[in-house]
Amino acid sequence: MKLLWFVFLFSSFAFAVDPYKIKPIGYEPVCDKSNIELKNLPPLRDQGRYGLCYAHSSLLLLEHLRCSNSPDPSSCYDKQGSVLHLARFNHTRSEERIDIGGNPISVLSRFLDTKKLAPEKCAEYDDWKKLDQYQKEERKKLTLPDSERDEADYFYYISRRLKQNASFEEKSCWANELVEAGINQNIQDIMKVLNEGKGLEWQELRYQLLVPKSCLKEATSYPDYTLHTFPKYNEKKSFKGFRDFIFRSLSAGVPVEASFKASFDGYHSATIVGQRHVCDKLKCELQFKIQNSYGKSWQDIYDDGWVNAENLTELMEHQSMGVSAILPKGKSLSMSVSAPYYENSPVRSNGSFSSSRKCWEVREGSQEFITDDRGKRPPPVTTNPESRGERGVWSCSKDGKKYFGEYALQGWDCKKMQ
Amino acid sequence: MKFLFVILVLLQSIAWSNESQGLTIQTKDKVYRFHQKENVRVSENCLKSNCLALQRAELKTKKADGKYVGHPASDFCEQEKGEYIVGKRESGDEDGVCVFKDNSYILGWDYFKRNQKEKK
Repeated sequence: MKLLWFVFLFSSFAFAVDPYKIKPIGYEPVCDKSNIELKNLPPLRDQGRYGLCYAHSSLLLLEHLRCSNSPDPSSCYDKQGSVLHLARFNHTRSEERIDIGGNPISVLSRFLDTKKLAPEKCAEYDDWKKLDQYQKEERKKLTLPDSERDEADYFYYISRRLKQNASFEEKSCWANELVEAGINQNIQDIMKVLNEGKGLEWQELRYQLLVPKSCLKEATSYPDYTLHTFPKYNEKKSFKGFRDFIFRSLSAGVPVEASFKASFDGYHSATIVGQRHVCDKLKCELQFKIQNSYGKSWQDIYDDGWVNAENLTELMEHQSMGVSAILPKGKSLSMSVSAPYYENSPVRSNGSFSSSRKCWEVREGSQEFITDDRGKRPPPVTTNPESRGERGVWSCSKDGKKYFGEYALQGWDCKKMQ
Repeated sequence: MKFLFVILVLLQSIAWSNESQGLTIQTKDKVYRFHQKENVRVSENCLKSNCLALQRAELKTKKADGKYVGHPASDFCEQEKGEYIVGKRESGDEDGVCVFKDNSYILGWDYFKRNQKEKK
């Protein structure tokens, strides 16, 4: 019996998972060709208590596609689409509902049919959170099956009461609460939904009340895109497969949605927006930068989202969905490119890097260079390299777009990334 | 003497400007202002006296049953009878505040990490 307990405890610890391992002490970013960090990303969101991570990560991909190349991305993001409306695309056209937990790949592929979302300002995520303050005591009295415990929000309670023939007074009271919480519908429209809502599940009520039909008239439109995923039906999950897909997507300038095991028995979805190597004098590790839907202070605590790539991909392998990215129609991923990856510190390899390669950003006119030495920026295009005897590779950006710069015998050039 | 007075006034104005530059999170109804105490960011009423936001609590692992996990900091805040409220920082980024019955509050992830450390 004792042995059984030991096995149980050991296996529980073995399954303990932490997807977010930040860089070990003494490891610093190195300047090399694999460093990519997407710019012009949407502002950080905080999903709060509801399990709508799948809709948040999908929305980030869509918003980046819509706004990253706009002349003024921040005002473009002001008109972002509603995350509640996007969550509805987890289901087919006929099933209009908002579920807790979903599949980003389903969302992104079904959304291709319409490419239109109610604006966030009309169907606000915040309204759902505000409804938590109502019917609190009544909701506590509900007896819930384990499978529905996380679903037990305001709409769950209303749906139960509607099935039990709620009175007109109760419905009026809920309609007032919904208006008070900021729902963008008038009392008459809300009453209509409630009067006809006896046969609706709570997820359907959520959609009908939180995403008013009137909001669809002023919808935000998204450009046409193609959805790319890894693994495909005939591909095997592997660290190399994941990192190549992620590198190809980031090199094409688009973020990657990743679903992974996030606790002993649960899953999460977040977005990868960058990659780099960090090294000490002996070893290196690859890191991915995550933009999570956990708010700004999560980013602050977790090294701005830079986490160990190998650990994260191991947890992606435990999740059936894998990773996905969307590209503007007509653009494709460069399948021949493999992600640069090294475990040993560059100081120990062929000498192409120095262990002290720290990244510094140097601005020169409209160009921004990332160099390994603050006092020794990459030379401008006009410099004759032969006379200085320098050669190397740097990342740089020109006119707001990210490039790799190569400075060899041909001279410095800010070349477009592959 | 006059010189000392000028220095004092300058120091005071620097202190005031630093305070006004502190972290704020704004919701539609309220502005939450934060102050640093014990390496976490809390409400003003925690600076001088005990408050619920600074009381130690035990992190418990929530069962997810194969579903998507929620938000660890939000779940923990609610487990400790707090209310997790999301607002915006000046930058436009969203962030969460854990608000307690005594009106004290703390950044959601500061509360989570502080008690995670204590558990070790």
